[in-house]
Amino acid sequence: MKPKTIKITYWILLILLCMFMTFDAIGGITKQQAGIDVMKHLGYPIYLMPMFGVLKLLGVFALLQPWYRGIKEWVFAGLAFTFIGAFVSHICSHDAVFDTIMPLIFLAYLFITRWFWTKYEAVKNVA
Amino acid sequence: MKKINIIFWISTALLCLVMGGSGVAGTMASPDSVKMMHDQMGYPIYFLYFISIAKILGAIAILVPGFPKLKEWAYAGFAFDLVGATWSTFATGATVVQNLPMLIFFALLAVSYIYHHKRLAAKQGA
Repeated sequence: MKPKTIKITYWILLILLCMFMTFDAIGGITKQQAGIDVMKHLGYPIYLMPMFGVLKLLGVFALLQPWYRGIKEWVFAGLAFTFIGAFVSHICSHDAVFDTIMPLIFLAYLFITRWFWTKYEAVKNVA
Repeated sequence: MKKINIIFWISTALLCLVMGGSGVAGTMASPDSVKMMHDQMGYPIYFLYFISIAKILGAIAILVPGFPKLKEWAYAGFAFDLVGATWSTFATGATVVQNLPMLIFFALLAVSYIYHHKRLAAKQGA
């Protein structure tokens, strides 16, 4: 792959991820009813919603800042754990197949983004 | 290097004892674990098993030699676990004084993490 292709793909994937996270975070911090319904259905306490919201906003900041590389790995880890947790929670709540595999699709998207991130780090200084 | 190793292993052994130990207690659904996670903090019982298995896997990942990327994820997971636990205890009425032991866990994690990276750097330099 050409460096330019890697860079463009990385930024598109990353910005879409950050938009999704910001949208989700604001929904959590403002405790939107749709989120409350999901949390109640899975059996989690509602007080967790603002925490996930704040952590996601911090995650967006960590992904977009250019100074600290190591912290981005923690965001990928945290999101991966969240998606795996969501997958397991849907299984344990005997949910529909679509709802259950949705977190795995997010997880695949995350790993693709991370893969482009490692490629991007190798070529980012190449013109 | 010897000093780095000693500090790393003491903090790491204690960290893995705390995280792995609570993981083992959780997978057995000990009455204390169920009371804290389910009755007090309001988590579903299946999450107790999930987080407990995750803690045991995290402790193993940190204790076995090698796998630096996996270790980074394990440290991240432990940090998020402690943040979540702290948030949950405060949200369900714990006072700052009751939560003081959390500081010890965060300190163990920080020391183990910092010295893990010092060891990595020393090995690369050698």
